[in-house]
Amino acid sequence: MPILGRERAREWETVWATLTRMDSLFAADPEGRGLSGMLSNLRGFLLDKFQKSDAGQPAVWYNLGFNPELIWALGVVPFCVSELAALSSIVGDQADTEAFIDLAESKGYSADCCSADKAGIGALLRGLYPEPACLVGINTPCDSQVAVVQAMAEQRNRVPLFVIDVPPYDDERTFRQVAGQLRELIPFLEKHTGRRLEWDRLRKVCETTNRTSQYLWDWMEWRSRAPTMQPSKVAAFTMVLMIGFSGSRWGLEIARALAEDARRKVETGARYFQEKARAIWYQDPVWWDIQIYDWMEAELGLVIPMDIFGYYASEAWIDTSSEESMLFGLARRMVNCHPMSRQFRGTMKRYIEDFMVLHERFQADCGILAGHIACKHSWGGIGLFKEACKKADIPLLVFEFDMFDPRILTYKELQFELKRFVEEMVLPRKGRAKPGAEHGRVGE
Amino acid sequence: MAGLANSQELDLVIGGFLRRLPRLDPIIREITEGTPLLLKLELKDPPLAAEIDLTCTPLVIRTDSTAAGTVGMAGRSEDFQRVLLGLLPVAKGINEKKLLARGSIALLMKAVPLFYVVPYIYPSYLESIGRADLIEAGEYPPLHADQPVEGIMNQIISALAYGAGYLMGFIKKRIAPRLDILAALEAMGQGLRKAGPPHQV
Repeated sequence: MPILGRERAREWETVWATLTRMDSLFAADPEGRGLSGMLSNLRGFLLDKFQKSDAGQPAVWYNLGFNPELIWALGVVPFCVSELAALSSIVGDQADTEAFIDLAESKGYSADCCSADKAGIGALLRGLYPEPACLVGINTPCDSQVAVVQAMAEQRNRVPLFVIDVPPYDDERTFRQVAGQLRELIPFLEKHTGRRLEWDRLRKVCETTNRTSQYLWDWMEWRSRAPTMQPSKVAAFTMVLMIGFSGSRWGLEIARALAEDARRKVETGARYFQEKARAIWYQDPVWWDIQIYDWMEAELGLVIPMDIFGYYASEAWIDTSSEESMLFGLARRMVNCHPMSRQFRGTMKRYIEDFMVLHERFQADCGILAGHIACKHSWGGIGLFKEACKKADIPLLVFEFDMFDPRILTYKELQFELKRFVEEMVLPRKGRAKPGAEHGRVGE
Repeated sequence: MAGLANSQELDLVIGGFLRRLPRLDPIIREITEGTPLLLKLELKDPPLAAEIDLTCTPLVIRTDSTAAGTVGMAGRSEDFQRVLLGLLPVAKGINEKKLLARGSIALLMKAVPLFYVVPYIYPSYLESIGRADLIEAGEYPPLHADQPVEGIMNQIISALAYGAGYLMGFIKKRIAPRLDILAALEAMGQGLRKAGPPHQV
């Protein structure tokens, strides 16, 4: 299916055609309004990128831990290098994502790297993004990012690269240090894109981000109610939103669609399955087939009210009163609110604390650590995490899988793990819990 | 609505319908854009597992296989019967968790339009096997969002197809109740195939 009347790479056309069909399918059903709102704004976002790229506007490539507000404010086109691989998995053909992964590995990139990065590198190797004016690399949200930044630099070795180095701390000094790097990034971007940053434009972009933040907080509030009415399969979208859409009107509209859908579902109260157990999904979501969340709900009564990719911390507000405060706000948000960047730098303390907060706030019965095989930071601290859950008497399921590659743990194997955990561990414990503890911490 | 009491009956009714689909091979390939997918249907209460295998030509229907399929749809037999009748649109079925989809979204979205078409032929199939009792009375919701038909040629062909459908319906209801709609669609499929090479799979 051509996009804007022009033939594109097959992978982009597949994503576009699938999005169009999904939007048409789900728009017809009132229960699908939230999903349809997300899909139509995703289409708008892609259309805008293609339009601008076709018009010859400069593109800036970046990796997973960066948020694109500065790029939007310059009026140039942001491309996260893992974007197409992720879209292919979530709203396209999963086989394309796997082909990207295989290509990266066949060219010598380490199989131990994260599949999000390997798939991103595969898309780079295939030349599927418009040529960049410059590159922005960042060492968050995880260690694998160093590999993808290196790959970007190798793939486009004549294109200037700016690297943001985020320290492994989460204090004010860290935010100021990163804000200083963003200050240095501005003339770099101006020089290579030929655009001048207008601070008023950045202010508007930051205000859009703030409105988006408010919707995300509202969304979390609606999802925290038990029973959770909005499907589990949309619990992880904050991460996608921050990486690709931060500061754009499409991001704002997607957050609004999510929040309003969650509110409407609570208010109408229509239930299609019986909620039996609530889990905090504390690692990467099953992007390769998000429909498995429907199976969890329908067959196991298992609900994921929130996961680590969906959690949006309260430090995201950007003070737009001055240049300094905006850069500080952007830095703090990128370092302390971006899912994973927040939990996966430095010690395991925040990782564990956030889990406990989510478990309490979202009235969970258990935790599920879907252990993405490349997440060395979480595997490295697994002993501490297990110990903390044991101390708090929270049942925890831990298994190895890959968020973009079902060849590591298959659909059937995943079903087996979840079914066994819920039916043999969580539900019997809930049955033994004292009255009134249905949605609380089991055994407390 | 009269129900499907057991697996045997389910196999006779829904299985029998699926086994007629190879006759419509060219039309189904047009609808699914020639995508070489294997759609697995897993029904329960009573159970039936079936595959629509579009990886070979003509397509093959199996009701005795344990293959996982490239994409899948699972649900209760009664709900699936309502999907075939057009009483339960696919989107509603998925949103209400009556239909559990599995597999690549892109491939699923290629398979879903089959369920837009089936409700137009399934009732006449039920009549033809003497199971009109399974046709549920009621309000039939739109099967998917109305999309404007783009392009003058598409509009002309759509209008001609509407006219042909109207004529077939008129003849079946007023003149020849035993008119075989599947045979008419099969003839249309043969015409499609004759006009050009089939999709490469």
